[in-house]
Amino acid sequence: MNLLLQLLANGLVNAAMFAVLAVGFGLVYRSGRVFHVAYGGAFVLAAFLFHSLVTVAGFGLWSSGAVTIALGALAGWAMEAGFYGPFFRRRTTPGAVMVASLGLGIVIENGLALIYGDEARTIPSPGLAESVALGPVRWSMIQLAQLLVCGVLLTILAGASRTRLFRVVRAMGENAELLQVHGWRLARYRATVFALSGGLVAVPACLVMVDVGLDVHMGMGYLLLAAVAVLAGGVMRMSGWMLGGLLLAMLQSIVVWRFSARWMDLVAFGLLVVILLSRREGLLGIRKRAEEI
Amino acid sequence: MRSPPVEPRRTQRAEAPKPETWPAWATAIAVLAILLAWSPTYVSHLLVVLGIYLLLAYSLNLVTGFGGLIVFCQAIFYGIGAYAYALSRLRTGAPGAQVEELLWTGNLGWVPGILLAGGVSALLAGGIGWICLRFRGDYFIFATLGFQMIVFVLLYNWLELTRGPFGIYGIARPSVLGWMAHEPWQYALLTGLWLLALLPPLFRLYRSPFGLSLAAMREDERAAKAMGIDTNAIAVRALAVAGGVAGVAGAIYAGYVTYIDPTSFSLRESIFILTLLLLGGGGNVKGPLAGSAVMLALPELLRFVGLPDAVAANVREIFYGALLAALMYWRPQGLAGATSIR
Repeated sequence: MNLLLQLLANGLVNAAMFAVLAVGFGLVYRSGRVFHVAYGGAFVLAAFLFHSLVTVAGFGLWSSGAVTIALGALAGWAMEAGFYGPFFRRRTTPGAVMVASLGLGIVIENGLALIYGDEARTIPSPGLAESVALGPVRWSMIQLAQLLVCGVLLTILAGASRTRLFRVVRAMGENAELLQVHGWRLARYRATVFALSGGLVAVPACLVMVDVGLDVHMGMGYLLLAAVAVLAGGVMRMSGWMLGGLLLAMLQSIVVWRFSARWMDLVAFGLLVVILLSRREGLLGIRKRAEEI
Repeated sequence: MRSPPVEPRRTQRAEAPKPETWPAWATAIAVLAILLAWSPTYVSHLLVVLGIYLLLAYSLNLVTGFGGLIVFCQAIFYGIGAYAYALSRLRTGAPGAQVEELLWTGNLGWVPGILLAGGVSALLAGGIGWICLRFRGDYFIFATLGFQMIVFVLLYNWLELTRGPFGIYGIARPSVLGWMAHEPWQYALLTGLWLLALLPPLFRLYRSPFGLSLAAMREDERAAKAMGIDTNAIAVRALAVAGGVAGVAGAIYAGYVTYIDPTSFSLRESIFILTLLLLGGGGNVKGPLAGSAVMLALPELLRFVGLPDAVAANVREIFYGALLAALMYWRPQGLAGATSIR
């Protein structure tokens, strides 16, 4: 029983991180209908920028994290300005944009591999491995940092869902052209959304890098996590994306407890297919008529 | 209301002289002969690999090029074919001690083994298609991706069936009536025979009412339904055919390398096969050929340029990725394709 509690506690930490990942992916998917495959590339890019800032430039962990988030946002903005924006203006079909995004992700991943090599990188941080006991479960300092940072971020995001930016995000997903007709600067909002997504993805990227380390080829796994969370939770609502992240993390803990971590993908994707079959719009999705999709 | 324009295309085409194709064929065969004389082993190996990927690209072309459905699980049809062939013929090869660990092994002949591989993959593809085709668009793509992950986990972790990461070794080589293939050129010949057996019917399928129905579904599914086409049924059948051909490709692969493990059939392989098709373009016969040729020639070219092995793989991937993105921007129909994806 204690093992289960411990695993659920770990799951809660992962849930917070998966939820942030999912929000970063969901924002782009919901607003621009862009299946942002290069999101995995953005994740790894941020993680390795962070690694270089700490180990090469010698900054502290917190200041490196802040700089990485800023650089991640810049990278997100650059992706819209130099990549997705031109496709959007050309009215490229969503399938072609997805394939192009896949290409961009491959370029980022292998570009990083040229610089950093294929080996996993970690950041030696002795102070963070210490753990504290809270009742029957133990939390390491890094887990507490993960929970705290992501928890605060998620609270801010949830509170911000009624602001103008997030209302525009939803409106863009419904009808971008109408939004333009009403005088909203669509290009500016798209750039903002991509910058926000790039900044958000940098947070779990740094936290995972400090915790267990990463290699440059792990972006695809995190992209799939984010995408499964968004689709299972429901594309239409941010609360759905967060719920999807929570569900995935808890599921991961339970699978590890009952079976073994190696069956994780099977359970996660099996669950996704079952959810989509029974409720296509996702758990917290909004059902639409065929004409509205 | 405007009257519909008279369609002059067919008559014009009949008047225009058909371009001669034999010089191209003769050049290709001559180049091939020279290359084979230069290095028989190396060129034969390239031909076998090209043959396998041509089967994969042409089978996927039916679903993605004609049907317009992006599929991210072609590698598992390929992999299931490879495993079906390996297991069904294991007792005829040099099985060793692994036979005791495995749930099922057989001693089929070469042709029955390959046909079984195609059949099992076709069934699997039909079943997966039946489920995934409840969705369209991003959801369909994601459902196929889900099955790629699910079947991969099974291949990797169901040790009694596949020995998982340890792989299956000593897979029986192709053999007919006591004769067994050993040399690369023999494999190239046998692969060529399978291409000759499978591709013409597949090309016929492209031009048949079935292929045209798939194209109609790609262009406008609602209109196709209104014309009386059962789009779900034809898409399931197209997937089953694609899966069957991919299964044969897997069987040829298993018989050629004689050792398989699940890492050859991962999501990356599915992405590679899809890239092969999208790079060349779908919806016709030229596209997949162009894509396979470029994707397989590039690593060899880089090798001859003299890039060190450590960076060559990454440089190659960067080139593929950049080419894919550039094509989607300037030429979404690919190098030689007839249609672009939506």
